[in-house]
Amino acid sequence: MDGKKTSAAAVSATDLLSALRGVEQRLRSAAVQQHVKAQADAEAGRKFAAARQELSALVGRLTDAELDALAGPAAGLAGELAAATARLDRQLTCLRRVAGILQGLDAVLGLAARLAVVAAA
Amino acid sequence: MVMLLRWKPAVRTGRSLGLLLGACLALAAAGCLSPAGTAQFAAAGHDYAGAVDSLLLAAGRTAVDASSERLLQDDALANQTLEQYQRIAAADTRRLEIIGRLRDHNRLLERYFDLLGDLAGSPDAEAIRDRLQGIARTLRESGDELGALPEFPKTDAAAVANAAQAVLGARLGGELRADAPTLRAAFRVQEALLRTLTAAIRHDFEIIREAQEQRLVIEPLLAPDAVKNPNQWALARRELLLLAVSIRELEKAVDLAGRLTADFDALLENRLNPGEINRLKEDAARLAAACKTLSK
Repeated sequence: MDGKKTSAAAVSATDLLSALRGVEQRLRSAAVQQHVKAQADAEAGRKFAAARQELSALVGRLTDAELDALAGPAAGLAGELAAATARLDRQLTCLRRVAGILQGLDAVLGLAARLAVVAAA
Repeated sequence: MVMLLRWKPAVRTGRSLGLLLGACLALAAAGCLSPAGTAQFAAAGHDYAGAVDSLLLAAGRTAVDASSERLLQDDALANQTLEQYQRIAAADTRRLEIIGRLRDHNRLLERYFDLLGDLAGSPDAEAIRDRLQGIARTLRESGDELGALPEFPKTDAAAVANAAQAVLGARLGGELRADAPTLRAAFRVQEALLRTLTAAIRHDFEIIREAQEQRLVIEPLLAPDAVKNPNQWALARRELLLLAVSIRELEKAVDLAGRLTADFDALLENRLNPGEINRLKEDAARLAAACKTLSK
């Protein structure tokens, strides 16, 4: 039940942001801008600009909230990702060690084989 | 008899190598991954993370540009106060801080892909394969010269190469399977991030386009006097139209993270499709190019 409520709330927050963006785009269209600019009433123009600015600020805050909601889980994963990266780093170091050991083994084995051939002759 | 006793260390070494090869091949059976496939996936992941970084940069830039256009529009209707400007500047700074945090997360993912690529295509892995093949050759040549010794193993160079790949594949498989829950969670965040960023950029771009088209293109054209700087005017108009094309390119990129997740699952199940990986890399490159156009 709670899950359904949360899901419904999340959907309406996204829908609300989408609807508010649509309204802001219309209020900031060239046609509306030209229309308000052409009005003789300067006070009406000031009020319109202030109200439109409030709407823009609200759209900005809702967008921030959406991004913030993603930055939280991302930060939560940072520790695990760093640990995974450190493990890969260790694997690389280990691989380098194995290559070094095998290089030594190859040299020793080559020498042993030559000695064996000489001894067999 | 004395001579045969002298051969024991070489025989034992040969047997040990045989056992080592057997163990390696057993590891291979226990869920190793193709190093070549893993390297391809890591390269696609690197390109993807680079594209997302470009997208985050473009999101910051379009957000600030859209704010500037809003301020200019509002100022054209009513003179703006310092307080109004500072409030909008603070909001822009906050947006850039959030984007900075998201870029940090993305850089971690990019670092993971880089190391995975290093491990899968490590020159040390090549060196290990070469060393094992060298050892096998030494043993074989010795065996050829000492053909009379029945117990000397005839080690197959191809089997040695397979075993070396199997060791690396088993390491990769073990590592990626251990990291799978973290990576899947990171990919889910990325999917939501792409959707959110694309919607935000599209909206900011619409604000910018409408305002700039009016301010830089339509108003100078409709003014009674001829356009003062026709070259600059044509350039501004062209850039606005090209930006619209870049925005459409962003829309196509929304599913990139989902495709990266699908490729990751395919890699773990050893059914990675190289064609799909190449398409992912190409689309990531297109997204990065579109973001660069938006960030100009």
